[in-house]
Amino acid sequence: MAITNLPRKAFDAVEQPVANASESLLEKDAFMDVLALGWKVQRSALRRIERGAAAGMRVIGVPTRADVVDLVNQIGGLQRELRELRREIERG
Amino acid sequence: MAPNLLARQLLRTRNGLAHFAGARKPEVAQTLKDLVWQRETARLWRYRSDDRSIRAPLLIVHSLVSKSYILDLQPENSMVRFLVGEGFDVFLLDWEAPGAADAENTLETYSADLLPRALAAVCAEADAEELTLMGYCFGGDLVLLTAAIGAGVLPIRNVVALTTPCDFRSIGFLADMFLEGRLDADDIIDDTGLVPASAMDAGFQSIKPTDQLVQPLNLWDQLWNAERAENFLALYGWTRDQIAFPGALFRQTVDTLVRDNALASGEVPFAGAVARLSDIKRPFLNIYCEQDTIVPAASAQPLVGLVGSRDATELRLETGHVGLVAGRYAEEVARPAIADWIRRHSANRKTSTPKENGDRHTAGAAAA
Repeated sequence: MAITNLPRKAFDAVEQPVANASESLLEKDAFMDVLALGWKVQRSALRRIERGAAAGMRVIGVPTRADVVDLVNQIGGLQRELRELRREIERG
Repeated sequence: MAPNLLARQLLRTRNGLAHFAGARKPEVAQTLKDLVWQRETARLWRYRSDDRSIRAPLLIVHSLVSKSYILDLQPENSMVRFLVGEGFDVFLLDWEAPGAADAENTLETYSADLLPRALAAVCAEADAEELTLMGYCFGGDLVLLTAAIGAGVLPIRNVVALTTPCDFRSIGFLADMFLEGRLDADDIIDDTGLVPASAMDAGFQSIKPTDQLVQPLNLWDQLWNAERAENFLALYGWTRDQIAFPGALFRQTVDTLVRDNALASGEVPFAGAVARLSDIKRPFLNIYCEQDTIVPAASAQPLVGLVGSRDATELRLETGHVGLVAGRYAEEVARPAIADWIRRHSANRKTSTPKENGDRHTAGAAAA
């Protein structure tokens, strides 16, 4: 039984200090600043790639993700208008 | 007697294959219930019971950031089933995953429109004049705002907040990432106006960065025992089973609740006016958890000092965010404590008005 637990104990012995260190890192302002900046850069890069790909897809007449999102948002907007009308009717 | 090493490996192989093939999935949310009202993403469920001995119905409002089956995880591990068994007439206000049509929902949509309608539906369904309103996590914030703006108007008898964030500056990483100069709400919101479920999951996973390594190993440890593996998968599955969050509500959360920390001041800008927690005069119970990493105790603790109830009680429990509602500690300590408080405050009103109940109370886990 003790032998079967050895790999797990060894893992825990390594993991616990790493977990403590990473959790305390998350509390540091500088780390959060870097993480936020990294997120923004990644998102901005992805948007540029998407725009580039969309331009190529439009040339060959294939609908892009942005086209689908536009449709989804239009339907969402219509649903919101219907809800507002329903509220107005209920208010009498 | 536990099987030997070889037998365990064989059992792990069998159970692992059954799991990955999808033949054995944890069955969650099994307590029988009926849909009694719905509107937009709101779903009001009433749990079936032969013994509704406590007159005032109990409405549980679930959080918008997770799925409600944590409250009814498995038949032997279910907060809802326990409360039904205790004689409560239990209703659950649950939320479907929002779509693009819900992207502009705000606190007002939930607390000033959907919740008051749900309250009316509960009272009509149960033929009751008043109910106990209980919110879990962010659902607690919705409950507080509803109780504040509806004080004296809505049929609320008691208010219960389960690990409900109040001081958002004490939440830590998840909130601090949205302080000014870091991320803005719109850095997370997608093109359909929602915070995607994947972003919610990434946020919660980042609180414990090594969990994605540890949890598969925990599963491996449990996998030889089919029942333990199923229990583990039910709970772990829930922690990764996030839903999207309306973008406008997320903006409001970041601007008002995180950056302005409005709830901690007791006054939240709401529908062109101000919702004051001090307007909540009904008996109030605040339960929070010492080991909670999602809503730390320091974040939930201030509530009793902010509400206007003369009968305001707080219960500090030695467990975590999930351990409050699921697991052995919930079964042995948390659920009985919650049921006991509500039962005592659901007696005939003439013997249980707030003013007659006197001073505020604080209780620890031992008292629970």
